[in-house]
Amino acid sequence: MNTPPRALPETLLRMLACPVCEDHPPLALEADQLRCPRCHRVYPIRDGIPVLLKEEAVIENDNAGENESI
Amino acid sequence: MQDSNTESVKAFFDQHAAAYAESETHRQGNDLQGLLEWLPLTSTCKVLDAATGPGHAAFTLAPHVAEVIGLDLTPGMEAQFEKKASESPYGNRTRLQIGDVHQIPFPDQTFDIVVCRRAAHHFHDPLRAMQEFARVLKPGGHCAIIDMTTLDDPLLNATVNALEIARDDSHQRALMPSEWRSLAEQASMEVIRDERWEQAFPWQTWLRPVSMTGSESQVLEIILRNTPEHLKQQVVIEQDGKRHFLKRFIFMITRRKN
Repeated sequence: MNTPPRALPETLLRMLACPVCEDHPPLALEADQLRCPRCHRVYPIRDGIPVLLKEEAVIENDNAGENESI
Repeated sequence: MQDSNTESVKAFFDQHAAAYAESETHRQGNDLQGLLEWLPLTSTCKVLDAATGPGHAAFTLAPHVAEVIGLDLTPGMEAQFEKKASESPYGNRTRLQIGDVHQIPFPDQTFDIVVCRRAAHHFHDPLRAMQEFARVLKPGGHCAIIDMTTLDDPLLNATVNALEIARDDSHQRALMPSEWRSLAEQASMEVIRDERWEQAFPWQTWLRPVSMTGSESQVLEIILRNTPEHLKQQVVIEQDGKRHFLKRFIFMITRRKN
């Protein structure tokens, strides 16, 4: 049986940064996802664990491409 | 290429997560003791365990530091990590984060110590990973790399990597010690410790925790049949009348230059 996931601590949330943007800006918490204010990638939080992988992120702003740093 | 490697690593460890958590080879090992003895651990240290897997290094370090973040690509390792956290009295000092060592989701200069144990041979770009380790380290921070290696012999290195890939197609490359030292230099880190050792594994133990199909075994035998004898003697040895795989390891500690 799997151990239930632990709640995300504030300290960790404050540490997390966009893995894709060159200057690694902090991410904004929105319900069950994290958003990068620079490239507009939205990273999911699954089972209480942020999944900060480029290939799992969705870009929610059509103009985001011109803001990408990589 | 990069994405296909990422996918093959995730698929491999999703499938074998429980086996890695229980594997004697990965769970035991004096290299964990080396982490405790050779790293400047203090009660205020913030540690990143890069490619943590089921967290063997993370839970070894947790009693001696303030916080350990285990970074892993593979959601399949999550249950193993969380189970260990629930069983450890220091579990509340640990936290799993899904992310890639080539794009670490933390700001510059976040950690006092980065460790990466027995995982780097899966990386598609170890230089990029080392540069990321240096980036997230505070100036003067320490990085411990533990991984399989070979002698500084390109032909032997190619042979070992061919055998490892035949056994596990998520294997990328075991680097030679000279390559590791070069990567450290390129990532602006100085090497302050460089330990090497050999360990002979009974053939079947080496194959585990990967379960082999018949075709994989056949590929291994074909490679061995076509390997020059002087190279084969460096990898496949007889002990107690049984075939063993001679594995070499490197334990390198580097310090980020200011």
